[in-house]
Amino acid sequence: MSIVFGGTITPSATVEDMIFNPANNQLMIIDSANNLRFYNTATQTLLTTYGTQTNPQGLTIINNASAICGSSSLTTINFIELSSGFTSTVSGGLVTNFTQKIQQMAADPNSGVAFQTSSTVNTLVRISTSFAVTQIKIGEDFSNGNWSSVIFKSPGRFLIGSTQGTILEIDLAGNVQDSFRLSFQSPMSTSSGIYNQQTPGDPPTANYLSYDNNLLQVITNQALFTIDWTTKTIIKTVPVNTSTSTSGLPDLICQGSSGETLFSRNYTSSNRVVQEIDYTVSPTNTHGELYTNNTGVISLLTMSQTTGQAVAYQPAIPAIYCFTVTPRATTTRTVTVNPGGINQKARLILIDDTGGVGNSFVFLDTNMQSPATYRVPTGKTIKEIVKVGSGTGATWDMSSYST
Amino acid sequence: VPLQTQATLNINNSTTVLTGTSNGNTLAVIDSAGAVRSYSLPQLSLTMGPKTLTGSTACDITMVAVATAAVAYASTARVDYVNINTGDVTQVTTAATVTNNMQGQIAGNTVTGLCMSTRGAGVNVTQVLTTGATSLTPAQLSGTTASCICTKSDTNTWLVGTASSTILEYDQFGHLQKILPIPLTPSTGTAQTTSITSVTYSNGNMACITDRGLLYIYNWSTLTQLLKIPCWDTASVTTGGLLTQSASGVVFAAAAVGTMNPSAVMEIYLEGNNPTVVSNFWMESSIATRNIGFDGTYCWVFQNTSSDTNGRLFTVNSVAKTTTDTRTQVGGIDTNSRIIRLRDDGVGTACVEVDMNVSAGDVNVQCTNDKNYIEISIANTGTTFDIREFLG
Repeated sequence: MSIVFGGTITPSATVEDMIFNPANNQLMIIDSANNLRFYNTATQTLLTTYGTQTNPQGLTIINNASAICGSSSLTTINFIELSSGFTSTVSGGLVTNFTQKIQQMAADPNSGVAFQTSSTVNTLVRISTSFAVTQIKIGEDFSNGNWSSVIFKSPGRFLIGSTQGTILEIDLAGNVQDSFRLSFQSPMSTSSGIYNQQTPGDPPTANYLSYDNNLLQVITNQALFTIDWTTKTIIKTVPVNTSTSTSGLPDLICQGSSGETLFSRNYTSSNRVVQEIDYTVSPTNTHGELYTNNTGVISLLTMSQTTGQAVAYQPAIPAIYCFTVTPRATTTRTVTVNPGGINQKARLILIDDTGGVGNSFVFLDTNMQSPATYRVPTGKTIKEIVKVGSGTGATWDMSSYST
Repeated sequence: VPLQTQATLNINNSTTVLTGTSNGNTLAVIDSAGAVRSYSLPQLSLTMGPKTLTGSTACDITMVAVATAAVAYASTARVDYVNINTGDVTQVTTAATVTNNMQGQIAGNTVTGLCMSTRGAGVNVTQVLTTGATSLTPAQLSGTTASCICTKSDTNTWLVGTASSTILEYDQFGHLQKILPIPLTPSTGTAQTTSITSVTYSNGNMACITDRGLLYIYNWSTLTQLLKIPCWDTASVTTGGLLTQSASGVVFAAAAVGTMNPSAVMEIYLEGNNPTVVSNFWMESSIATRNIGFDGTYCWVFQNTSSDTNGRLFTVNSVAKTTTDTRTQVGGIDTNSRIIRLRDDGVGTACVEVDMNVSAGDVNVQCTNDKNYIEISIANTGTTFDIREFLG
């Protein structure tokens, strides 16, 4: 097993969002009592409490000195000095789109820029450490959509998901750099009763996102998708059942660590399970679970990007479960396919051959745009197959290596 | 080329179709009005019925001989044997009620003529020739219930999923052959249990779905876990994930719980060391699936409603195993080699179907009819290789 349960924090008010501070690995939560609280998850002890603005929603660390939070009722942004709790409130924002929902706010701490979702059509709130708060229309060609989630992708880049199934990569200014739209395709001819094309008014909402080394995990109300972001290819789809309301509590994934994310479903269920899901080395494989003793939904999930510490919030109890996740050991490998010196789009198949004849298995099969970096397991013998082109003109290559 | 084509089976009935079973040509279905009917699958036409069964609470049906199906009841202690061509019904009143009102409650073996059904804290065995019934109470089911069942035809045994996190293998006498406990740790408090909502088996591998929303695939011989992925969860076994019987390793799954529109039918390749989700097709409906079945050629889906008078029928390209020659030469000379055949249903689905050493010269190696393959031939202890694609 790769999940170890540590203990439970009993919060004193409804938790609205929670994140780990990468500087000291303390858990930070905002709650319905208008507080920002700091916890040690190893000992499940409360360390510090600061006040916030009314109805805080959305929480992120915008630089090494400050956190910010939005509100579900105010159009202001709170800047909170982490060392003192000193708070500055800046107007110009918008109320957040949801309550008790993760990924409503994300920051690039290197550049001091953050984005927040809003309930205004196609509009994000941009926040910078210079106390500039502005509203940005993004993706106006997608009608009547709201940006439902935002995560930090890489320095200078964010990924945002919409209620229209659109996922955009934006830069620090909010300019669109890349885009993709989720869809459902059945592998057969269109016929009565088969859903093969996007129906207006019934799109999949990109409820939550997780990104690592060119692979993107997305949870919608219908399925868990794994997408190669270099070519926008859906490489794995696992159907799930979830709430019909995006403003309710759809199935959850959180921004992952080491290519793994945490997943919890929120449909009518027996006692809830938090699952540790791989989406990079072996997409959608579940490596571990944390079984809870209650049927109440898990409304918030988050994990540290550096330590494997993780928490899940079950309001019905109420409890914040503290646990650690030990992901499978990995390293990264950059795959370059450039016959004639020109980088190509290629099919990449990675086979774990550690067990030798009769025991090999495919762990990743994707469409990539060269060069691309992927996470591979360490301590393994790997066969790497690439295919360029199709049909009789296709060319193949294979290499073997140990990690 | 689409992997599946789809047709509509016009049931033309105002009652809910509960479950169906097929002998490869004829689909027999039972409905909520207590009747049985048969349809020609190639012609999509009614060939028998409706014929009234002996009770009104029939809930599951399984083939137990070429033209005979066994019908299990949810609240009446009996099994009906039905000739799916004539509709003749023979009643076995010494049988017992099954545990859950859903599919996967009775599983027949067309070779032995035996079928086993769930029976609360036990199982029930009936024999088509003698029409005798035997209630068995294996010790492992004491204090729990058998929640679902499937036939393991290679050993003429059955796999029984329980409400207490285990898969049990029994022979016809109720002798335990093997037991697999599903791991349920860590937990935030008291030890947890899970109910198995559906179980199936194919050529050495077992797949099951739990009410906690996990789909497991195990090598049944070694009890090695091969795959574990998220799936549909449920508050009740009767609305959990459903699995079909397999044919050459192909299995379909759907949700008996209401899902979002569109709702999915998931195709899984179950055999070998590298089982995988092959594809999903999406149905324009959020109504829960009452029954999903597969006979090797046709996959059918019935939704849990009396307002939809159609069954959805999918024609699956041949899943029959066959062989295709392979031959490895280095410098024009036949040589020993290692052959890795990847079953290829498109990007994201490649999985190893064959990985073996073969001798020099033409060698027949297993594949599946009409499937795309990527074959890697490795010679000279790994220093020389070739890759080709072919259609099985």
